[in-house]
Amino acid sequence: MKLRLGFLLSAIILAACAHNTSTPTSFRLPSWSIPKGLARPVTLPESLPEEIISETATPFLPVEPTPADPQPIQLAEGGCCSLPMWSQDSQWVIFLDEPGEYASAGLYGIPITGGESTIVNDQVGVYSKSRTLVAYPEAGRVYVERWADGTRWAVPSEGRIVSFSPSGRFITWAVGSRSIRYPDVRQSTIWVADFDGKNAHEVITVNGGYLIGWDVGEKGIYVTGRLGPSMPSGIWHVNLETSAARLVMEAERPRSALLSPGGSYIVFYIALSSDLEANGLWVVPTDGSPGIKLDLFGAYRWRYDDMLVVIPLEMDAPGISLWQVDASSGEALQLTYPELTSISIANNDWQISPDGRQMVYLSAEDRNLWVLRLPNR
Amino acid sequence: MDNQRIMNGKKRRGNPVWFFRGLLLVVIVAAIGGISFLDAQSGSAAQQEDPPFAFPFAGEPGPDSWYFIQAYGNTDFAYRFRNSTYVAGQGLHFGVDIAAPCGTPILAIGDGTVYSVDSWHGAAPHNLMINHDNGYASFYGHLLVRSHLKKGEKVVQGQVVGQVGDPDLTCASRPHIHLEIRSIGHTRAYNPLPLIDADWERLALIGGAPHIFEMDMDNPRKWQNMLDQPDTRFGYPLLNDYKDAWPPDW
Repeated sequence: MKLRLGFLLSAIILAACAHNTSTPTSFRLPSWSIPKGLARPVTLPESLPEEIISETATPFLPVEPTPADPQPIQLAEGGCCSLPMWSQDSQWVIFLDEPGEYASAGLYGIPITGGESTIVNDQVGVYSKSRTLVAYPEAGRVYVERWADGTRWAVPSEGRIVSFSPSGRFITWAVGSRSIRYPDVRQSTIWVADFDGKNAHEVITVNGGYLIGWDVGEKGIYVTGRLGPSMPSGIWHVNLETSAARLVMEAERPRSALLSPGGSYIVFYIALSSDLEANGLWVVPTDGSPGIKLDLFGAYRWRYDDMLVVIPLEMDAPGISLWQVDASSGEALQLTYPELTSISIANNDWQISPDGRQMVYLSAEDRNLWVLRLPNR
Repeated sequence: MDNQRIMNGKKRRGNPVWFFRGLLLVVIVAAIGGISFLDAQSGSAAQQEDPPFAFPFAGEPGPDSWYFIQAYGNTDFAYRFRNSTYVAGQGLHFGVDIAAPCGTPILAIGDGTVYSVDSWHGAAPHNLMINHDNGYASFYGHLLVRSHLKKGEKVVQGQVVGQVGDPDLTCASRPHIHLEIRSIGHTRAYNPLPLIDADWERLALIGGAPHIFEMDMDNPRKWQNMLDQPDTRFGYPLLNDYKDAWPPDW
C-alpha cells in the first residue's frame, strides 16, 4: 500500500514536471502600436531655463517615424506567427495559424493598415502566387485544388509536396533519396507537370542540388548542383522540353539561392571552400554574364528585380542594420541604423513585400509579427 | 499457503522496515522528479540572464571561419528524420550544429572533467563528453580525430578539447560540430541556446531562408522559436509525431 502510494505520488510529481511547456495564450486582435522604448539620443545645451529643464532634462526624447528613420510597427500579438508571407498586392501579411480554441487551423491574414486577423483559407497547403490554387497532401496523395470552385486534381507526385510556377500553370516536385549523408552527391530528379498533374515528365537529375526557380517565360528552370559526374557544379538553366542545360555560373555548393522577382539575378553564398576567394555572398545575372562577390555577408532577400536587402552578419555592431545592394554593381547603401531603427529578428524569419516597400519580420523580442516600411535612400 | 500469504501480509503491514522502504522510494523518485523539474525549467527558458557556458569557437563567424547552421529542437529537418536519425531523441534535433572547416579548434564551453572519449553516444567519427560541476554535461560530436584528453582529466573553459570533423569523413561534405548540453546523468538533452552566452538570433542571420520549425497544425504556435524548445528525454516517445504537420513530410 505504501509502495503504491509512493508510486502514485511520484507519478503525480513526474507528470507535473513533464508539463514544461507554456500554454499558448489566447489571441488578441492586433492593433497598430508604436514600439515602446524607441528613443533617439539628443544633445542638450549646457544651460537651459529651469522650466524647460524640468520638461526635457533627459538624455532621450521620443522620436516620431520619419522617412529617413522608419520605425517598426507591431502587427500581431499573442506570439503570432512564424513564416509570414505577403499577399500579391502587398496589402496583407499572411501566415499559418490556429488563433484560438474554437478557430480552425488555416491561412490567416492581417491587413498592413492594421486590424483583425481573419481567416483567408482553412486549407493548409502550398499556394500559387495568386493564391487561386493550393496543393496539399491527403491520405498519401497530393491534390491541387482550385479555390474558386473547389475542383481538385490528384497529381502524380507520389505523395511529394509540389510547388507552383509563378503563373500557376505548372507544378514541380523533386524525387530523391531520403538521406542525411553526402549531400553533395545525393541525386534529386526534378519533375514538372501542368497544374492539374497532366503532362508530367522528368526534366533533369541533379547531384547535390535543388530547384531555385523558373525563368520569366516559364520555358525553363534554374537549378543548382552537378548534372553529371564529369560536369561542373554550379547554377544551371534547364529547358523544360529538351532538358538542354546552360551553365549560368560555376560554383561549388551554392547555398540558399534566391531568384530575383523578375528573374534577372540569382543570389547565393559559398562557405567553407578551400578557395577562400570563393567564400562569400554572390550575385549572378541569369543571362550568363559574370557574377559579382559582394562586400557584405549575412542574411538577404530581394527587394526589387535588381535590388537586394542584406542584413550583415556583424556581431560587434550595436544592432541590426539593413543595407540595400545594387545587383548589377554590388554598390551597397545603408538603409537603417540600429541606433535609430530598432529591429530584432527571430529565426532569420523576414520577408519583403512584392512592391518592395515594406518588410515583415518575426520579432526576437516578443515573438510577434512586426512591419517596417523600407526607406528609399 | 494462504496462511503464509496472510501472515506475510500482516507481517509486512506491521513491519516498519517496509514502510521506510516505501517512503525512501517516494523520496528518491520525488527527488528525481525534482531534478527533472529543475532541468525542465532550465532547458526551456528563454535566453538566460547569465548563461553558464561560453561559445565553443573563437573569432568571428563568417563564410571562412564558422557559422550556425541548425538549431536545437523541433526543426523541420529533424521532423523529416524523426523515425530514424532522431528517433532516440524524441524526434528532436537534440543539439546545435555549427559548421566550420575540418581542423578548427573546439573550445570547452565550461570548466569540467572529461567523462568519456569516443563513447557509444554517436556523432561519428569521434566524440567527447565533459561533465560540469553545475549539473550539466557537454557533448562534442563529429570530431576530426580522437580527442587528446583522457577520461577524468580536468578542463577549463576555453581550452581546446578537439577539432571539427565531418561525419561523411571527407572534410568537404558537411564539416560541423554537433554540440549537446545534457543532464549530468546524460539521459536528457537541453536546448543549448539559452545556456550558451551568444547572440543566437544574430548568428542565425545568414542566407535567404528562415530557420523553420515543424508546425503541429493542432497548435501551430508551439515550439516555433529557437529559444523556446522542449527538453529531450532519450528513449522516450516522439514529441513531434503530429497528425497534421507543416511543412509536410516528403
